[in-house]
Amino acid sequence: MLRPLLLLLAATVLLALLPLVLGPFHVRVGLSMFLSAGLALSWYILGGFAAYYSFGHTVFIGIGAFAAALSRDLWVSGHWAGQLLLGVGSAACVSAAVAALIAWPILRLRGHYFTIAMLAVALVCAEAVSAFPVFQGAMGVSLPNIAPPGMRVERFYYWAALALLLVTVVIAMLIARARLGYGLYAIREDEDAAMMLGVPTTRLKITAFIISAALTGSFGALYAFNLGYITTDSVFRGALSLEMIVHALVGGMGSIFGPIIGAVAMTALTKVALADMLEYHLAITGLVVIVVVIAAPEGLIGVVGRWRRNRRHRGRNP
Amino acid sequence: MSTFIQTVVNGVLFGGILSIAAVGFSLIFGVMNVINLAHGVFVIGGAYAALVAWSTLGIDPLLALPVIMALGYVLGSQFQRHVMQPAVRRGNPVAALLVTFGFALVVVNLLTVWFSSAVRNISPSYAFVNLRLGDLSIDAVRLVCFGIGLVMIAALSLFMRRSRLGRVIRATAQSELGARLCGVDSKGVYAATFGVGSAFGAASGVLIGMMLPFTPAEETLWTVYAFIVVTLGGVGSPAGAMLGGVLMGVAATLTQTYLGAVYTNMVMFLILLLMLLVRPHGILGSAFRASR
Amino acid sequence: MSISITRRRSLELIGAAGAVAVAPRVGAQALPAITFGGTIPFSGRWAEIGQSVHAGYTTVAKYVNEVLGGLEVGGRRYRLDIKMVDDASDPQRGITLLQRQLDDGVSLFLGTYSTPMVLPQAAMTERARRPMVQASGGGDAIFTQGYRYIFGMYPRASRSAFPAVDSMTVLNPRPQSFIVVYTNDPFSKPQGLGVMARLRERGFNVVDSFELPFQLQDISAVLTAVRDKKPDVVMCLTSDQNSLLIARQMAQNRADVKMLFTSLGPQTPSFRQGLGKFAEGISCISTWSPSFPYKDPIFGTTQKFAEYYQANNTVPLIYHQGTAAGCIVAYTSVLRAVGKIDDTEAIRDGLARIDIESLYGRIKFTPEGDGDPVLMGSAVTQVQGGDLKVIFPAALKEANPIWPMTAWSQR
Repeated sequence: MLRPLLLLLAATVLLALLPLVLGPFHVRVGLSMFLSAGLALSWYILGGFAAYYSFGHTVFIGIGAFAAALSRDLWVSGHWAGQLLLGVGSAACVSAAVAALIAWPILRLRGHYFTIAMLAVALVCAEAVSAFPVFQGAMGVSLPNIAPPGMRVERFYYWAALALLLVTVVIAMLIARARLGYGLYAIREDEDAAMMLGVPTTRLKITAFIISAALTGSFGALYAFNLGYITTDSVFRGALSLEMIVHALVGGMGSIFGPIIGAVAMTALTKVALADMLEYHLAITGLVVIVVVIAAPEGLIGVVGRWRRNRRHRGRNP
Repeated sequence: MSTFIQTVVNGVLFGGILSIAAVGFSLIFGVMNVINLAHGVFVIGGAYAALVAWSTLGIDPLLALPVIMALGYVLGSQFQRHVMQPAVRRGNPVAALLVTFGFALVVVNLLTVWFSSAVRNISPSYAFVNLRLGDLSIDAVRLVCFGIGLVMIAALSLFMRRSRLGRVIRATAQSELGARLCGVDSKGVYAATFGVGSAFGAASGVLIGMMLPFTPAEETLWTVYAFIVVTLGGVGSPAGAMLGGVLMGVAATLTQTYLGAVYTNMVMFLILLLMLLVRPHGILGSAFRASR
Repeated sequence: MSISITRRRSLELIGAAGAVAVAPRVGAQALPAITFGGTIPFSGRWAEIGQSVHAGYTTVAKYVNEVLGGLEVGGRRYRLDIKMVDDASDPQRGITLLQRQLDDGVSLFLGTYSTPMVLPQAAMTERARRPMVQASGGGDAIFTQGYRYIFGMYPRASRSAFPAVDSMTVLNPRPQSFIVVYTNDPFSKPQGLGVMARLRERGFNVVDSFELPFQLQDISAVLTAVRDKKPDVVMCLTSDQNSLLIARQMAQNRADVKMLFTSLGPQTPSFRQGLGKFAEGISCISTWSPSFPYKDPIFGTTQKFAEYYQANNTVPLIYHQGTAAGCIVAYTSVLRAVGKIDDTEAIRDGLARIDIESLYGRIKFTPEGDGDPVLMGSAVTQVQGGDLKVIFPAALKEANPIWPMTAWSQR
């Protein structure tokens, strides 16, 4: 465990130094990549480990975003570090609480039904946040700028997102090595067999669900701070749910780095390479999804793995 | 009291629209156990096809309906055979879902480029005819579409029960291996089923285009409405789609009138959620498999 | 583990290299350019409006570049370069792409569409101390943040529909009862609430009101209320799609009223065509109309702008193009007065003080940056003979209002 952690730390330090040499636009692209990667990895904790594919994870982004925005009075006066921690903290807590509330009934469903149920949860919450004025979803809420004076705003959020991504990766690595992770793999392979063998499937699923929700909500809070003004539509977006899944798939569902790689690749594609293709970027994203699913079902990691294996074989048998 | 009756009548007519839109989705879900995220684009695509027929070619949408259904069938079955089947073969359970999602993105983008996202509607000469039954006001177009929808759903039901292809589809749905052992080309059956589902989706789009304003972005909503109808009424059976649609429609109009218009969608999605938790196969259950 | 991390890092580097490779290169052209930056929804929910707004910006630029041979500022000639990128109606994408332009040194900005898209961008241009003149974000939230660098071409949402209420006061015989319907979004809701307050101030009776979600397929509740309470006027502050649905269902169900007002909708030809003879008499707000009788420092008159536009564009001309064109006219007027193209402080001050007549109308902003409610208030138009005719205020009037509108049952 120590060696991978050290390598991770080294990579993080390198990434943290990048804003000092990159221009603000590239820092923002990096920020987008970290947010997307973090969200995809948070989704993966449930979807990749346990194969419970949630199509409504944007609900936690939204809940986290609004929790941070509406809890303003708790943290608005204070040091910027406190503001960040309390804002993200309240987002994580509220998301976890909502997840805990719905976990048991929702996780009783399997397969497609769980997928649609999460979508339904997302839709209900989005409508509720708009319909009930107490949430201010329809009119929108502003968040104050919490970047410390003197620091460039995009750098601040870049570092905050990087830090949160690091936390998420560490949590994912810990889960993968713990009984929780092995239990989730068992659920993924054959849930009924796991139950019969005594694996506490319900408890493990609920735990993974709550962790996934809390992390997603935290990124939702950062997303909201970065935007500065949110309405229901800006954070309860079906597109965000689908992006999380596409990123995990494109990167590869076999490793916790799959979602990260997929997020980086797709963000680079849509925000940079296609930024000037005014009309067709949606169609191209769709084509990429189709091509990846058919031609590279193990994702980019799978493609690279296959290529390396082929090279090795070719080397031995000329 | 008359308000209540008017609300219920409006609900039934609106529900008819929902049923028609869901019947194709129900078939695909029931037979192939695939959530077709591209369902909405077939619906909206049908609406745009009818728009082209009406505004550019001057053909009444109802006359163009059979042609549009045929186009839907061809597009759907070819997509299933050449894109979905390779995806499913990869083994990933979400694969089929994701390629339908990718396909939906492509089609929505193309529709937006060709037609712009201006709000459109089709208004044939009889679009504003109004019928009165005492105090009740009934929109003639909705009534006609409701009637056509009923006919279509009944035709699908008959097709599934009596025709050879219908029986083959049902057999494959109940047991793919068993059907193949009996000599059925299951791949062909799946392609045909997807085609039929898409054809009905497109047909519903033609009717919806005559009743409601539409844009390319609506397609997500119609896919979601299809989920709700199917989850409520029952998977795989046209009768289930009919029941689910009418119940949803009445629930929507009752919410609008007595609770507040702003809660309409929320109540509809809440019903979906509750049904999933309590009885996911719907009131009438799954037509092809054992229900919980 | 080490394998994965190396792979990840190399992918990051490849991504960054690719980003640099596709960065735009500015080529040398005949005249130096004044660049106007910003994002526009070319795809996604707001695509149609985004295209109209963009067409307005580019038409003025084209005229200045091709017909006038460039804009003269401080003794030199410049061409106008409208550099807008697609934000896909996604606020997050919008701010990321805007950052690129800020980095590239773009100092003058134009707006995207809708309040949730404009506000995050306004925060960025404000921090960078660069002006943004925008045609399409009217929510009160934008103008109550204390920003100094953001300007909007019409009064904030809560005041923007006041002309509609005022137009009711000149109708004879005076209407008595009203039903108000508004969409629950950051623009229509304040608009609707503002309208209800002003109606009551002016002595009208609001018998019912409805708050609608953005996506709605059926408005039978409104129809029932119209049937039961028989108001004189139904006023809708609703999105295009909801307006069309309301108008269609009211006509289809013969829910007769003396006047139907929808804030958005009748401006587009497809709305009027779709309703056919049932569109006659529906009124709406227009922040601008090609028939306005104003003089313009670039085109000469509003009319000439409309003619030039029709000759050079396929996107139908509605009020968005006029509002967008007004933004460019405001900028060019201030640039000429200031004499420098990169002194953003002076340009901002010039915009804050501006008071000119243009093809859009009088341009003068309040201290908060939104349009002056009296001088930049909208006109009210009505569908007459399949076309939109201005019926209020008196100074811009083209035709008398059709009041009461022929009942739907009688068409």
